[in-house]
Amino acid sequence: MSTDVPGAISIGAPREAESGAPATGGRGGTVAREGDAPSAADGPEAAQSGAARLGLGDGGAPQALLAAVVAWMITVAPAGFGRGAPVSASVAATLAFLCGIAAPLVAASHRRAARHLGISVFLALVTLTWLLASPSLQPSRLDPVRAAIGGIAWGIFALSWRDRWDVRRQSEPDPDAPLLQARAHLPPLAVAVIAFGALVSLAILVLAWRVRDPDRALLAQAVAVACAVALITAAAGVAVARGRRHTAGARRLSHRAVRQLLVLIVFAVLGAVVMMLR
Amino acid sequence: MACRSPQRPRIPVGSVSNRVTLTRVSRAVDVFAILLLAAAAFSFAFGVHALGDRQDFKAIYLLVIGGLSLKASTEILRPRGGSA
Repeated sequence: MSTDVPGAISIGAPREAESGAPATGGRGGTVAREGDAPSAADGPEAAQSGAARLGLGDGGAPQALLAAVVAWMITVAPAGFGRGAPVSASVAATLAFLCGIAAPLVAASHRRAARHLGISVFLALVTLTWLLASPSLQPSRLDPVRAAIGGIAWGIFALSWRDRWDVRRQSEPDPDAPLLQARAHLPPLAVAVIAFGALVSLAILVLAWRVRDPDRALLAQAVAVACAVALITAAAGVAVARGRRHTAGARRLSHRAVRQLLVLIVFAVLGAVVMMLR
Repeated sequence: MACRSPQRPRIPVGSVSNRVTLTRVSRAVDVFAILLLAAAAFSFAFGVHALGDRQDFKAIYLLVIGGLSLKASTEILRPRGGSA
């Protein structure tokens, strides 16, 4: 079944709109009925219907709109309208802004066109603006804080358009189906063991930054990363593997384990002796 | 025909006392594994600290001890092949 029917599909709720239900009162981003004045008792539904009247859908579209505006204001407008920027850059920035705010507004009725407009055209115009106003993007002219906020804004923009291009219809849940039960449970203190491993791993990484000597600092960073990875991996293994030895073979350790313990003891004793003799 | 080693007497699992004993042994092994993990964690931490203090031998010693402890902590929790 084709899912590309232009219709009542919003960014935030494609499945419900896809299900083909009459979309007069749904969340699918369609226009609500005339005269449905939201009352105070309606709560979030009233707010959603108000957003639907504006053509914003049900949450995803305002998010995309806000993210596009913020990302454009922080990273595109200073380049396109700054001093020395050519007129073509200003025009491209303006067109990008229009695309960025128009796409979420039409997403409820023209989903594919809105995605092309809000992602492809918007990003192309933004890139064109940056290319035309490249002197404004010199590293010496960039503010680190504003660049960081702009990066976060672009990340939110990417997340706001996170829906799949092809909307797949999900089957309705069977009300008679039994609940799936977990086949096993975590042993007690598993979370505590994992948390301990994670915290000590972080402490090791922090300790590596205390090394002042440049050569040793590089080695300490490499050693700390390796130790942290090994510790996290082993902590996860220990946390999950505990409590599985309630069999007859549990009375005896495996030969490999005994060998590892012997090596550990011998090495620890020999090393301690050598350290004392030094 | 391959010569098989004489089988060790298997512990009857059905009795209640044996189950209790197995549970205690299993719990002791679990605690030992966690202690080894903690020892490895602190060995790593002190090893990196010693590396920053220019104590190379101590750093290497602690890092190796940490690695061996970590390996032992995961090995003792691994079930025996064919006996479980």
